[in-house]
Amino acid sequence: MSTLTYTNAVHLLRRMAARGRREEAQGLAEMGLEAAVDHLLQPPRPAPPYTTSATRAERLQQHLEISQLWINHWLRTPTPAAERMVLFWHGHLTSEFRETMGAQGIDFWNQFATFRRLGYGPYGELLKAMAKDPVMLLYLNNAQSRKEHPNQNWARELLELFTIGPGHYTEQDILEAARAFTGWTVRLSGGQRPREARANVPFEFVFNRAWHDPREKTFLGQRVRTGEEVLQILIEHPQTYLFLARKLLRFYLSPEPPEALVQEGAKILRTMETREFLRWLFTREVFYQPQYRNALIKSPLEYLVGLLYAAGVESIDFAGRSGRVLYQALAAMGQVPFDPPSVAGWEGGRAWLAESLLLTRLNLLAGFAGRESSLDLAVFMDGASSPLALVKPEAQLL
Amino acid sequence: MDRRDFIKRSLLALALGQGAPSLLSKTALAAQAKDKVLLVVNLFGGNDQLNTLVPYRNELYYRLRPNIAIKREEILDLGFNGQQLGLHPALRPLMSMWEQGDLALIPQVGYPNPNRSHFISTSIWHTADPSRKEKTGWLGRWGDLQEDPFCDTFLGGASPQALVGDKRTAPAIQSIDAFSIRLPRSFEQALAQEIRQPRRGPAEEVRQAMLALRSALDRVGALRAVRNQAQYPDNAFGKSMADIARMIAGGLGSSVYYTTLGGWDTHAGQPPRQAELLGYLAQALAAFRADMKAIGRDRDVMLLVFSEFGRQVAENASFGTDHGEGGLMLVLGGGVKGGVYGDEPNLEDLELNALKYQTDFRNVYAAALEWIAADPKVVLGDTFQPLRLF
Repeated sequence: MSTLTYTNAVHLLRRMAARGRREEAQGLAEMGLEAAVDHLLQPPRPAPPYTTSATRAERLQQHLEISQLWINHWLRTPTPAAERMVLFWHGHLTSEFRETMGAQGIDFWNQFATFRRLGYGPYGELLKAMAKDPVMLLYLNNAQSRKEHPNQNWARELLELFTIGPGHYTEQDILEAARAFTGWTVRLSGGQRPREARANVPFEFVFNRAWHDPREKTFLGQRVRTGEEVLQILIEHPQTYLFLARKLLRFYLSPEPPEALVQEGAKILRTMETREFLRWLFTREVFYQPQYRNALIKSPLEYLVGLLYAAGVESIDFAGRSGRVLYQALAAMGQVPFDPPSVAGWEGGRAWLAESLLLTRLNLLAGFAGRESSLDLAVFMDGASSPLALVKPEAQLL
Repeated sequence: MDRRDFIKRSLLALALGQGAPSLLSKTALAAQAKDKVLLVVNLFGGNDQLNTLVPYRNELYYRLRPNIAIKREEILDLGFNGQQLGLHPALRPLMSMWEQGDLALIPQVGYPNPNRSHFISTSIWHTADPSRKEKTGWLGRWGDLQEDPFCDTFLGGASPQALVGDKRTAPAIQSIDAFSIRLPRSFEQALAQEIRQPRRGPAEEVRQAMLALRSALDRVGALRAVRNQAQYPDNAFGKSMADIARMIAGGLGSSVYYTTLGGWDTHAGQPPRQAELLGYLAQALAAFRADMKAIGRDRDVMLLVFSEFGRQVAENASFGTDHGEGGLMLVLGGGVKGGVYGDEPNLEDLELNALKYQTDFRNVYAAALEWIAADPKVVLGDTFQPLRLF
């Protein structure tokens, strides 16, 4: 068993979970490195179910409710690292709440449940689930794609952003993949009609044979017919894992991860679960080197959750006056949960520090004035020696 | 300026704002330089050229778009100089500009080896480098040569690549009115102390950002007393355009302003969505120009509107269009020579269902750079022939 110093435990906990207190870091240090990492990588605790009294048209109300539910779950769950993992997948296999008009809060909440259920597993399984996820099908318009003239949106982003990345396919491959996915669409659970259904009725995947183009396609040089075959080719493609490994390392290690680690990580992802990749990363010595501590800028969600947790807040109420301020601050800091700015997710890093965004982060601290001495900032930030430490640049780092 | 001066100035601005709102008026000009200004609007998502500047006399257009074509009777006719083209009805607020001759429409704008990815194509437009080797933005490279940190300003969350240089990035202001620090005195004092102490690595990056924020607070705070006269659409884009007008009127001193309007990625259900967005765009452009006229600066400001690509020609089966190639640019302003700069789109000679590009966007950029007295060669490298837009 390798030892884990208290300082390294702080770094580990902050990076994996984006929330923590002194005694938790101490507990991890006592476990030793491997046990601590395994402890943090436990199977995710399911989030509470979501039901609403809002109507299907009251989507902003629903957005407020699921945002609150998620943040409160992140604050209370015994498996907070899973929630940061959910944030990763949400920023990778994106869907935008405002752009996905038909989808309801429940559909987004179900998508997050899938991230929790499959996010630590093999990437291929998660990808297959997302290809049939109702929010994804609605967001990237595959739900409306018919053989007469296929919609290319999903096929393009699947290749460009979710798997092999630019430079490894042609425009023709996009057209062929789009044909293969025609007929992958959604209906309301039990076939209910949107006008009559309550907002708690979710969408479900359905294959519409009449819309599907069953003829042969040539995709990345191979003959295929179905969407499943297209996915299988992408799941077996080495480039998928190089692309994903780089992205995971940017999220969990540093904005510019060493190429050797990308290569090594891709090999793990290709044959094993994402959990194994994370276990590998966090048990390696390199993760604890000084240049990788505080190497990331906290995203607004990480900043907010970390702060609230350090202050001992167990739940927030976005409908209340002080909660409303927090809800608006997330938008003003540039990160609305369930609603990334584009299909590429959040740019992150230095972009979080732009003038207006940083100003909102600092102004948020006013809510913690007078409580400085009751804050446990041991995990939230390095250098928290004085009660006014929250204004230090270090508070922005992860 | 030290902190005390800053407070005094802010209080003064506040007093002006509450007591006697200084409406945009010629008197607000007193202390300003008469410099030229470039305002860039990025329509993110890929605006559909064919339903914006419509070839409504072309039968093929209606055959290829049986469900989403703009009806002939709804088209805003551009007369003889619009050749065979007309505008989407939601662009009505631009018609008076067209008639005054200061609205330029440039169809089929693009670059060699077009890329249909939002992100790659946006990056090519922002860097002005289709070979994708350049990392800095075209206006960022210009900004590197300037002394004033506010030589350019982005209205929005974080400055896009176009405004990122080697040495600096344009300040990003989301809203003038929200741009004030509201912390207890103890926190503000601690902050002032912390940002004096240099650090290394990412902590130093944060500290630099805090320093930039501090100086921006001083400059932008002074603008709160300035008010718009015109009515802008009630959304984020409208507010950004309104704030740019206030920045110009209040003498912020930027030569370049940049902002974004997203939502143009109309793969499905295009007609209502695009109409709504074009409406916002046209209303905001018209309001902005009205504000500029009110302070006598309309002839100083060139507005340049672009999108990363146009959309495909034949519609898809979900009442939308997929990513295309050549797209439409708009350039307007009191000093701009109006007209259609290019040919009617050729719907019979397509590249995988997309319009081929005809005008390189860097020729338009070159003209925009000349407008602000910058040397296009320094910024764009190879020589591009500036379009004679003014």
